[in-house]
Amino acid sequence: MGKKTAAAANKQPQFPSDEIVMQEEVVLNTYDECTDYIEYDDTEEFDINKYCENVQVAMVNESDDGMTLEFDVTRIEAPIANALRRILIAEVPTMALEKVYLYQNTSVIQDEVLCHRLGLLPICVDPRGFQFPKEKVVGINEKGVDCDEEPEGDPTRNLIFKVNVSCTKNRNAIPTATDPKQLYHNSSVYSRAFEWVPIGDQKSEYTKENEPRMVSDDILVAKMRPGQEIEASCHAVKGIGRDHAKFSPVATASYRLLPTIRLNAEISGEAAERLQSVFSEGVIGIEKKGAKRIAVVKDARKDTCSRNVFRHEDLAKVVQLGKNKQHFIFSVESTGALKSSELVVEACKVMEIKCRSLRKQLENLLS
Amino acid sequence: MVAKEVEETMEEVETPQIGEEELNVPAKKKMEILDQKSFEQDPTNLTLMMYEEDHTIGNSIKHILSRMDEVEFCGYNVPHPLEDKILFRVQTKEGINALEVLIKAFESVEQIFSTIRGKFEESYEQSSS
Repeated sequence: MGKKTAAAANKQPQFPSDEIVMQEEVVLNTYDECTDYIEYDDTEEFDINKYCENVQVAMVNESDDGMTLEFDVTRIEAPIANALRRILIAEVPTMALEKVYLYQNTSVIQDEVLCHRLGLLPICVDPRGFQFPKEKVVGINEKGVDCDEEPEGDPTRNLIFKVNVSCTKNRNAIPTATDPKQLYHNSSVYSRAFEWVPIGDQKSEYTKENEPRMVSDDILVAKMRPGQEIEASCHAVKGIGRDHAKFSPVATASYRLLPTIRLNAEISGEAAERLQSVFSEGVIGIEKKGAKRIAVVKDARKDTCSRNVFRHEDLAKVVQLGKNKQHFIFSVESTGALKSSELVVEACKVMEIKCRSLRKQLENLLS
Repeated sequence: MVAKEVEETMEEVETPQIGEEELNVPAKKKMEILDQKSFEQDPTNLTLMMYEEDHTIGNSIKHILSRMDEVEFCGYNVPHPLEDKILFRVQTKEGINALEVLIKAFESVEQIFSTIRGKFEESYEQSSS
């Protein structure tokens, strides 16, 4: 391993140690001995304050509704970045339907399948206003009963949504109609059919705008035909993605390293256009230099790291691809309960609380 | 309203219970030193089982520990994918209590994440204004 990297270093003398080298068949300078810590210095004592000072965060872009966010965190290492990502996916709480009290379900979709679908509906409500359930929700209790009478619900822990839809014939439909939407009323049950039922003083906590509701109105829940109906009362609880994916606040939370592209020679004319075509759009630009048109790296961030360029023998000789090991590009897409920016802040808080509570327990062990 | 409460718990170091409740952690034992006797005899050698934790904590703590000067060896593993626990192993240099070093590592990770949070909020405010 050591020999290999040394050989690579000889071949690529101008490549900095904090970059992964991407060659045609191999990826070099990855995770090894000390290079997971860049600028590792054995003589100097590790100073956490200095480490924290070096960390930089920068926003890249945010969608208008704040639900998708791209941001950069630099001068951290993969284990820290990965912890942030894992927390976002699995440990930031949201509200989701957990108990469904079905009073009527004569549709073709089975009770348990319907309930599972309901659980997955994203709910638009700030989970920070709620507490976790007092006890773990169990499937079947010790008496072998999986469902008790519907409880009243705790205003600090539950949200209740009611749905009551029945499908009927549309008597005014034109005789030639074949579309179920025209033939029947309520042939499809959408998430907009759910109505929030405030418990206790919940009503006073929300205005008309931030009232608990489904994130999207157009999620198809079930289909029915005349005579069928669905009536249910659904209780939402606060939970984390670690327990069930329906509680995960993000659709995706991921990070990647910033790609680097080096052109070691001037590439012009036909070769420049070819170079532009082998990368993703916007990565390579073409500039005029005198009479020549030469290729320049416009935006390496847009590169997908396909390494397509290495298929062209002449270009492969002069193009170096790499990734900056300390530059993490995060992309967070919220499911709708909280803005992505709020989720990142919450994720950090969760990690801090986790560390603090574990530390407390360690201190107890010590004494 | 409750968001404020969370803020307060961030400040107050004296209330681990609130933190635990925040995380939906049952009151049962979350940590266990394996072979307590040998740890008492030789406090540089710590084998610790953490329940209901995974790579999130394991890898980030290991990462910081491996950089600390007092540490000779450290590592973690997930003994079985179906069991929700991780096994932590810390070996420190002579005369240094491994548990104290581990506590320091937790402090460091907490500090890193509070830095990221601070810098994130700052940068987000700047970009949205």
